[in-house]
Amino acid sequence: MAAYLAVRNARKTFGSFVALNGISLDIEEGEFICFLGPSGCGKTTLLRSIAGLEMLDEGNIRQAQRDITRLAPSQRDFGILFQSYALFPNLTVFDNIAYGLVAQRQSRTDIAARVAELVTLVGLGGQEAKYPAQLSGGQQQRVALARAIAPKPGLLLLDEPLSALDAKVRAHLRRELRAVHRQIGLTTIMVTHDREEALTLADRIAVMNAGRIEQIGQPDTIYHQPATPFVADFISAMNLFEATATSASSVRCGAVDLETVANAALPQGKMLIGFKPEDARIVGPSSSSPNAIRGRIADFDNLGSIIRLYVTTTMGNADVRIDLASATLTQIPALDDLIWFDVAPDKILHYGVTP
Amino acid sequence: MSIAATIPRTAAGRNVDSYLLIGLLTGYALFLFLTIIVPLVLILLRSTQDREGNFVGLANYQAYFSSTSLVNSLGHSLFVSTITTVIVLALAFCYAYALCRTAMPWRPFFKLMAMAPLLMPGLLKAVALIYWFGNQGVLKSLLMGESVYGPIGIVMASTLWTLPHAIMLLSAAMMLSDARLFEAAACLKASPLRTFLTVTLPSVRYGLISTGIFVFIRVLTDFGIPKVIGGNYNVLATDIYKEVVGQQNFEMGAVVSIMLLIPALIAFVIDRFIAGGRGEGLTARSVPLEPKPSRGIDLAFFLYCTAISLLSLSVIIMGQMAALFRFWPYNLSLTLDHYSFDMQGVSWENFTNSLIFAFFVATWGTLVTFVSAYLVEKPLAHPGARAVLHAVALVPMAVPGLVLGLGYLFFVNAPGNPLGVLYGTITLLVINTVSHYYTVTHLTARTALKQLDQEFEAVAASLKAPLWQTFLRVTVPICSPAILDIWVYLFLNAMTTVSGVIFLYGINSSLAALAVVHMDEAGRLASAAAMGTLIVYASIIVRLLHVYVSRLILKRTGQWRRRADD
Repeated sequence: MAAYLAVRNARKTFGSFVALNGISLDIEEGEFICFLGPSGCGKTTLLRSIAGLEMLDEGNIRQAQRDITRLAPSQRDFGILFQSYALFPNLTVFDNIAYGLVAQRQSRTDIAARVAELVTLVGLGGQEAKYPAQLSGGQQQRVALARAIAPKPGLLLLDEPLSALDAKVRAHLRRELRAVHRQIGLTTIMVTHDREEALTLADRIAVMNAGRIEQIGQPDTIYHQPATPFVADFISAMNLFEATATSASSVRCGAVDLETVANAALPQGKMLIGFKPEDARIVGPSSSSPNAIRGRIADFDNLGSIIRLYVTTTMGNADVRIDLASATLTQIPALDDLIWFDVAPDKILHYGVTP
Repeated sequence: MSIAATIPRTAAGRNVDSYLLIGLLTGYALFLFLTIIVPLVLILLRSTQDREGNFVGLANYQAYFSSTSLVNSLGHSLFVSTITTVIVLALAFCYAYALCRTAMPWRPFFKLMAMAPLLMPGLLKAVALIYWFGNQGVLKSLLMGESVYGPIGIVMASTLWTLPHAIMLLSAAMMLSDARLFEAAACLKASPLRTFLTVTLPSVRYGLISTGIFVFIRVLTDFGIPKVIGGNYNVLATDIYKEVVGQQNFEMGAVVSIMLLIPALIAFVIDRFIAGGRGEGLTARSVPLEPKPSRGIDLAFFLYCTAISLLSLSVIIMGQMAALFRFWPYNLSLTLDHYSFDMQGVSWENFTNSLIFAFFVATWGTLVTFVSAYLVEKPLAHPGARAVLHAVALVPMAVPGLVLGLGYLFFVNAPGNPLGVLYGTITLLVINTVSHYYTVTHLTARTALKQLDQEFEAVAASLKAPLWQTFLRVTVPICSPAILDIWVYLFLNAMTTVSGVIFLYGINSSLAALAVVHMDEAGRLASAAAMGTLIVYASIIVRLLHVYVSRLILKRTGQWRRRADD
């Protein structure tokens, strides 16, 4: 069976800037998918193209077996949530939520019943008569959510819906968004540049860069097996170093030799190896680990639950980032301390270098 | 021909909304084409024809430049405009500075005094100046033998006329000051002079330039003041009138129009160019400046503002008294006789005509402006066509009223034009005036629309609500203060406009402001002043109603206009 939403070879340019560079993507019914990437990667353009707010230069989009590529937004089937909420300021919460229902010419009693149901769903009971300006940011975004899903669209589009909120409200609303999605099972696409948001919310994540999808997959896969150095850097803040293979299971990285898992796919010649900051462990100077590396603490960030070290080594010019759980530390590191750390061979990923 | 032909087909799906949108955009393009482009093209064509309508190339222009008196007028126009601009900028800068950047006492009062003359037509100011400084004037001796009829009178009247606008524009620029910059300068131990040169001036640089250009164009293209007080000192605007009305030489009238259009156009382009390069001077984080008291400076500015206020007050009072004195300066008993307007072609009907005319201009103008600004600003489709329409909407700003009016005359008098029946009707005057003031109203509407969330239309489309529904339910209510402002702006300007309509009025459509010109022409200054005061009182009433209705709107909608307290 064909996917609920299918994007094929989507291309879009703005002047000389290529926003979408041949994107293909399938989204299943009921799925929660995140477009994740830095600004300018094309994620918002892709979302706006699906909404009909931008028209593709090439390629096509099918929703529920219907070609919607050239349709105006009003002829498509979606609800949308913007970072700015875009609530109508002169209408009450009730009238905002009812806006799409009125356009459908539903009866008054049906509208009242549907609004009551939604108000309860988003936890805004009793606020129906208020105007948007009288609500907090988080409450306004909930009204916008209720308004978007009121006409029961087949697809919900979220354009960085949480970015304008402060951290605490954001975390709270994130959980609520997930709860609402579980409850009504609406196919949902969210655009975000916040990897934490994507990892917690999405069934699948599409990591985008320079108008292309770098990797698409479940959050676990994306996090633990990033397919490209870009994804590794963006999702896991991975340490990446140039290296050359010295055997089927070892590489030389700067002045350091490292063992990796025996791997027939290990490319010959130059490559990139990477490991996550939390996969490095502090070891004693007499460690027998084959991957023990000596370094000097150049700087550190105390982030509360973790402490992030920046360690100068002979692996390369960049400092190695090492995350340590504060609870496991017996002593607080000091600048210029010499330390030893190691990385388990199976935690070292490698990427071919495109010439 | 029309711009509609260039509308790109971005969305292939067609529904009621998109047909409505295309229909409205086409209608709007046609409106701009007929009311702005065609008249201007006709002027250009006529300036290259002889009386029989044969093409003669630049012969008329050669004739123009070989006539010393006509070329002199060009110099006169540029001279009085430049002098006035310099004087107004200096006076207005100090006044606005006093209002915005000092702790001078009575600032609200002085603000009111600065705005009060706005309600008085330039014509009436010129008449009042004649009473003060004319041949029979009380203060004639102050001119030390020079006559007020000429450049002196034009510059004085033009200064009084444009000063309130200039103060308003400069105040707006000075209001946008960021206190943090002044604090930073103080913390870095900058002297007051250095602070003024490095913080104050740069922040109002663009305001100064665009205000200067505004004053220059207003004075350059004004017809009423030089007509009333210019005497034998000819300027371009009065030349056009003389060629067309006096000598029926339409071809030369068209040539002079082009000579007037060119400098106005240049000034306008410079202004647009500068405005385009302007960055965001003020951000949401800016902290408004709270001026600190300083006894000496505050006193100096207090005295300065008092002097300027007394000056404009004296003109306002003289405007009224001129209409009441039985026979200046010989019999100063008061009478209402001058309000009987017993002159050929002038009656109270001029005034009622003006009220009807201004009402229609304001109402139709607001409707057309707001809907078209919405069309240009909001829908997602047809970006190319919308950009072209926006550019055309800026044109009237650069076109002097007389020139546009003459173009209309050519248009309705063109043989075989079915719209010729409009000649002499109020309808034609309304259309002409709406398009003459189109740019300002268009920009006002556009600014208001820009403050709306850009995503409203996208949300409405996703909710399957038709465009007109969002327009009526959301856009119009939110923009109601701006819509009211546009209405009042058009009404007040329609009450005083002369230059746009002087070639177009008929026996049954003569207006109060035109009557002022005609009575002055006939030497009946007191009656002219009387008619002028009627315009003033009508304007005051409309202005007071405006304040009242604005308060009412704010009160009724305050609940949702109030911002959330973060």
